[in-house]
Amino acid sequence: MMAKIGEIEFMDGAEAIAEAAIQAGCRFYAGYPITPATPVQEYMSKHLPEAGGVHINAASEIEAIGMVWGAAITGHRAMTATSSTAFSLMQEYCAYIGEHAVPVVIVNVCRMPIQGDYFQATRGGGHGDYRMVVLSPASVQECADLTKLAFYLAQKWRMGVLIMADTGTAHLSETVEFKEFVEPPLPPKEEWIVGAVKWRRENQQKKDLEAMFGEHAKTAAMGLHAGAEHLGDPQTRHSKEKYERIAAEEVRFEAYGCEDADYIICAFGTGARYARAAVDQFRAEGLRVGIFRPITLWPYPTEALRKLAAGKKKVLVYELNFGQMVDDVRIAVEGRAPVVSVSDIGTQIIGFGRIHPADVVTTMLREAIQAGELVSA
Amino acid sequence: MQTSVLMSGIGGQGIQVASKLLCLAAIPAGFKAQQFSVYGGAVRGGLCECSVTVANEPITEPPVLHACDAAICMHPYAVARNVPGKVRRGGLVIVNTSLIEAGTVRPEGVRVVEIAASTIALEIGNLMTAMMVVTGAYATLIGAFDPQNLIDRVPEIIPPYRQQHVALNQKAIQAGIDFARNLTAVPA
Repeated sequence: MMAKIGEIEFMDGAEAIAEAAIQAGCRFYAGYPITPATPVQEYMSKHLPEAGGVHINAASEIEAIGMVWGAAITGHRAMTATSSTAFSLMQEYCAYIGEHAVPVVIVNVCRMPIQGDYFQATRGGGHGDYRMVVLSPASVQECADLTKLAFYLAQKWRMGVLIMADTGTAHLSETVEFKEFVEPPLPPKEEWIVGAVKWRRENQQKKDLEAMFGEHAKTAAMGLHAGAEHLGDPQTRHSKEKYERIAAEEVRFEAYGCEDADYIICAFGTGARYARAAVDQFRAEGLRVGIFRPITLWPYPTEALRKLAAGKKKVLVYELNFGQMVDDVRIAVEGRAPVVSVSDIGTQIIGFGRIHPADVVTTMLREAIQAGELVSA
Repeated sequence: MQTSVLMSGIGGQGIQVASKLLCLAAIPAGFKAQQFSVYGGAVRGGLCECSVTVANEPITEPPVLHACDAAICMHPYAVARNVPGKVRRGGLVIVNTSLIEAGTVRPEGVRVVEIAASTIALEIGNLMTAMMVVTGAYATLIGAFDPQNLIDRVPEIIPPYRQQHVALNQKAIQAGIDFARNLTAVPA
């Protein structure tokens, strides 16, 4: 299946990510199969060549991310997909991708526990002082929409963008509409890609290069001087300023019923689907509960949550892990309301992962809401 | 309108294919659809459960159903896991009486339809079409969309290298539709 813009398709999250990547101009994919990320690669192996792209089944995850880095530095849009343990293998390269400011899209379809890689995703599993934008889809529609956004953000900021999906979204099939994503103009790739020597000689002043690189100006123009990370707009290079601007400009979240709520539940991705059902149940009972769902896990919607949380009776954090995002919630809330972690790895096995059934989530959250509260007669 | 069904049986009975076909058939009628499968890795005979929700509004039901409007029980495993007990009052349970003893599934406040689906499938020509028989019957009983949509979309759900089985599957769906229509014609 190759989906057309505007038509309603029925596919799973993994296929939606792959299809959206092709539509976003991804023309290089290297990966090593691993459940539950394999369907992304299956789709790519079939449909990327049809779009004129290249799919390579790598010999290992390390090889895959290395090839994707290599393809990206030539200016082609490139992606890999993997899952938890194998994403760990890729961390050294993720660090270099950050340091060298290379636009790469990586998909981690997390497994066991399905939200257990939050720290790794948001704090970076590799060495050095780099960040990746982390997008968290909660539906198949978001798998499609956020993948297109990921390619744009990767190139806009010249960095790695991580799509943190999981078994619950990648293996979920839903109706999905592939929308046209019109990208705002991007800076010329020639500023940083390997091989654009002539362009840089003509467009970047020789003296600028000499001022930056001294005797290495010639190799810098070739993009060979310690990689291409030093070239181009200072705001897209690996720099503190870049990360501060992203934190200010690229925050995305969804807040539902938070304004008038006594309690706010924070949840992301698959966990948010189940927490949302609990919120609807509580609302039907007259309890004023809202849900706050970060879509960007980095940058975290800190300011937005801080404003909404002020004066609430409790802020509950529901995650399918032992409690990781709760740290970011505490940083955001800064003592303006009590923060309670309501997290565990799930009781019901769903392939390579576990969830709590919706009724269990509702019970867990209800108990956390009622804990320590005076019950009026 | 939002309606959900939990399809339960064992790997190899065609539950996943049927659940996706059900979604594909609902979409031309303007519905949104959601499907999630829980199954053991690469084995026949292991537990297999598929959740399907169709709705004309954005779907709020979480993907793995703990409560549903209907259940399809293809194998005694489904009864052992109390799948019929997850059906809301006023809902529907379809029981494959070729494998589950007739009269043994009686959840309170729920309509039970018994169909010897595996037997019908064998008569049609292949045991593996039993789930198609049941899906035809389910769509007819729910009445949310024209069950002919199921027949029309069979070629899309069957892989290119197995297209020779399209007609057989369509015949099985038609048998399920006929079964349900005859059923509703009989006064309660």
